[in-house]
Amino acid sequence: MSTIKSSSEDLTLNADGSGNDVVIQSNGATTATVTATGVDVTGGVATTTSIDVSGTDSKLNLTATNTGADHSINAASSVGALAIDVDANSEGSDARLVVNMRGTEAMRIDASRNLKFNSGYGSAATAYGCRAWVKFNGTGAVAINNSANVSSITDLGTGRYRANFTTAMVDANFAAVCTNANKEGGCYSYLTTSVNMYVGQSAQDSDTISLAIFR
Amino acid sequence: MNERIIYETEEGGVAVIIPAPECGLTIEEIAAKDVPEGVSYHIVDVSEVPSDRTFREAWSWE
Repeated sequence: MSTIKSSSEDLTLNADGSGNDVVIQSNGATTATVTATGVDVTGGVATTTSIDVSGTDSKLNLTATNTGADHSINAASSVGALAIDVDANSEGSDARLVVNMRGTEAMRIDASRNLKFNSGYGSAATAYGCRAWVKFNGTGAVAINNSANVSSITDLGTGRYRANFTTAMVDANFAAVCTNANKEGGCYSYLTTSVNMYVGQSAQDSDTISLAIFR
Repeated sequence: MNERIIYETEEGGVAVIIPAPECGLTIEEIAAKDVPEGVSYHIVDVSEVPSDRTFREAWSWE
């Protein structure tokens, strides 16, 4: 092994002159380049490019020195996702992904994959998602105003409608909240793929019907 | 979508499926998923569905 070493003072690698970079190669391929704007890690001949930070308390710090400047992590490629993984080796009860804001926990994903956030609640508590919702006009030519995870509304007759889910629920034990304008109503026939709604004891149409599914 | 899916219900009436505008599925995909299994259906223009629902329970498909 060959080593470049400086024991008594800083070691400087200087590619002097405009446009000149410090290039680091492994096995004949460039793995990192120090340019005028930063460090580019290219991976060389490896299929996976990584920056490994390890230690008893490892940190990757982003420090913008200009007041008000943003820090960012960009997935610059047009393909693939930006993933933050708490590795499988950290699957103990204390495994978690935490986002702090000014020193106070604002959001957490715990070892059970529960998403918790504060947003004025007082602490980061588990958020229970609205899995589907729809607002529609059940009179005249029945029309959907807007929706999410609802593929369609089935008009079953006067004052009776069905919401069909784009992606099915995991089971039929979800809570359905159904409201309409000025009439009583509710839900029935809970299925993983749909839920029925009724308006009025004696079946009446309504021009404003809203449904939200929680699970 | 300016199309509707129509099928006859077990009770003898007519059900009309209104697609959600931004659900990402085609009318055929919605029909395959939201029409009860084994029931035949028709895809029609929205203009073919009456907007007067006074006698909604009396609707039939011809």
